[in-house]
This record gives sequence, structure tokens and C-alpha cells, in this order.
Amino acid sequence: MTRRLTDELVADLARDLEPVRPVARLRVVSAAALALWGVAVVLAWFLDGHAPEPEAWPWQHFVGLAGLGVAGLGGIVASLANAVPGREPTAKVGLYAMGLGVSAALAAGMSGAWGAGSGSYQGSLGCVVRSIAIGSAPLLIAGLFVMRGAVSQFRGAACLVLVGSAGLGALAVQATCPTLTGGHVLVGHCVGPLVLAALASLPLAAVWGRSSSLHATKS
Amino acid sequence: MSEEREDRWRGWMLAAQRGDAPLYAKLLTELTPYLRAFVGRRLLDSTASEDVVQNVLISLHRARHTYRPERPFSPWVHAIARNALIDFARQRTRRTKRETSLDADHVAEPAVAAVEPRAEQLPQALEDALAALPNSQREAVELIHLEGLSVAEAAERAGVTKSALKVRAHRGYRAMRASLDRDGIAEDEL
Repeated sequence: MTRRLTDELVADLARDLEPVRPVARLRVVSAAALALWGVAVVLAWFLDGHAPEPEAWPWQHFVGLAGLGVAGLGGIVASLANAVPGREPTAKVGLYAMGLGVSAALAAGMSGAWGAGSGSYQGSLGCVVRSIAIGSAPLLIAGLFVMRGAVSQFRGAACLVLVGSAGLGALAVQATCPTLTGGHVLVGHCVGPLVLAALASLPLAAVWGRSSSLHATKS
Repeated sequence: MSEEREDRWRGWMLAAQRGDAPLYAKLLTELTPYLRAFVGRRLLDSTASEDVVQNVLISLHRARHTYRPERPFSPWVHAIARNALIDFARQRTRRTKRETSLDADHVAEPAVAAVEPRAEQLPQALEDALAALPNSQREAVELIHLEGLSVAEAAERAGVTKSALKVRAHRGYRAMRASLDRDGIAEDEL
């Protein structure tokens, strides 16, 4: 009986076959996401002013920048690779990179190299919003690709793509923000955007999972 | 997987992406025993194994646009099969956690002798199995089998594609069958 069901299923699937357009290459999508992110960074640079001269940056600032960059890129690559069966090794590398990058960024943020002042948290909310706004540029491209992919663990996929995008957004803000006090860098450039992105993945995954089961085989 | 077979399946998969149904049917037909062997090596329960094979076929159909022509075919299929096995293991773990095992010593003796399920009890068993389905699957089964709609009509009523409706109905049948199996009602009694 179960084998008969399998045979019926094969016949049904073949009968319902519709042409599909293969997904784009991962490297093309990654490049497009980064290009759009670059445009957002340039815009932010012109609109928000500039950070102090790099000579004034403590070395932890560079570690933070590198961490956010690695976390952002790793998250985006992991989310894209995770959406395509057979690309798990790439996804794993991206995931490890993201973990490493987030850890480095957090460590740099907590190192206290910038010193804490009374206004150390000043403007953090603005930087979180800017991080998310800039991060939404790569999110647009990567998110569309991931949503079209073959994802079964929606929560993980949503978390990867959101944290990756937020990481890239935070990187841009960290590089351009003139306020370099300890609490501000930690909250506004690191914990705020990343935690918000991780939390946003919960409702996104719920909506996505529901709509995916509704349009199961539309593609 | 032999190189010749890999090339053949890859060619058929590309044809399937272009909408060639006969070659797609060939691909799925040739893949099915291969998947049975792949899954069977990892699962001893043959019924569960067949369920996983069906899930792999459904996933493959849903994910057919994610196959890139320049990539090898077998890692793609294996990844889909592995994901289906992982999903199955997770579902089984969740189900096991929900169920409470009854220790034989603590089961009360029935007041009357147990009777085999009778024909008049079967519709109730079916009704219970149907009621236990998730809304989307129950709707699919009801539209097709109780209201007698065609797949196209049922899909339109449910607001989903024909394929999606079939997948839902198929999963609904499987869940109902599993439920009836657990209740000790054989399929040929229905």
C-alpha cells in the first residue's frame, strides 16, 4: 500500500510539473547583496558625516570592525548556502565565521577601550536604527533568495539572514559614527542591531513558515 | 553513483526544470529505489522508511528550482534526503515526548473482554483520525474525498496551487493511516 502511494505520488508530481527557473549562483547573489550594501554605505557616509580619523581609533575598534564584517559576510553566505541543498559545507563555514565575528565584535565592544562616560549610551538608538536601515539593503537581495530556496528550518534561516544583514549594517555604522564611547559602541553598533535581528527572526520565521506551507509548490 | 547514471539523472533534472514531464517521471521512477536503499540503510522501520522516501520526493519536487546546472546532481539529492531524515527524526522525537508509555503493570484489566474493531466502529475511527489532522491537511482531504471536488476545484477553494493541495492531501492520508495503525485498525477493514 505504501509503495503504491509512492508510485501514485511520482505520477502526481510528474503530472503537475511546471517549468522553473533555476536559482541564481550563490556568488552572483552574494556580490549583488554586497553591491547594494556598498551603495547604502556610501549614502550613509554622505548623509551621516564621518567618523574621527582612523589614527584616533583604538586597535579594538579595528577588531570590532573586522568582527562585524566577518559576522555579516558569514551570516549572508551561510543563509544563502543553507537555502540550496548540497551547499551545506559552505553554509557551515559561513556559520562558523558568523559566530567568530559576533564574538570578536562583542569582545571588542566590551573591552572598554573607548572609556565610559555619562553620555556613553547617547544616540545608541539612532545607530541601531541606522544599522538596520543599512542592513536592509543586503537583506533585500539575500532574503528574496533565501525565501525562494529550499528551507525547512525557517527559524535558523531567518536568524542567519537577519543577523548577517544587521552585521553588515552595524559595520557601516561603526565605520562612520563619530561617537566612539564604550557603551555607545557596544549597544548601538553591536548588541542592539544583532540582538534585534535575532529577535526579529522569530516572528519572521513564523510568518514565513506559514506562507511557505500555503504556497508549497508554487515555484 | 556511477558517472553514467549521474549524467543521465542530471540531464533529466535539467529537462524537468524546463517542464519535461515524461523525463521527470523517469527520473523520479529511477530515483525511488535508489532513495529506498539510501533511506533504508539509515532506518530499519520499512513503513517509516517509505514515508521518508515520499517526503524526499515531495521535497525534491518543491526544491527542483534550487538545482544549478553546473553542480553535480547526487550531492543535491543526498542533501534533500538527509534533510528529510533529520526532519523525520525530529518529528519522531517530538511525538515520543508527547506520548506517555503505559507500563503493562499499571494498565487496568478491561471489565469486559476486548473486542476486535467492528465495521460500525470504523467510521468513527476514521472521523477521529480526520479530526486529528492539522487544519490544512483536513481541509484538503475533506474537499477531495468528502465533497468530491476535483483537485483543481479543491485547490481553488483552498486558495493554494494544485500541487500544494495534493501534497497536503497526501500528508493527510499518511497521518490518518498512521493514526489508524496505532489504533490497531487494519487498512483492509476500512
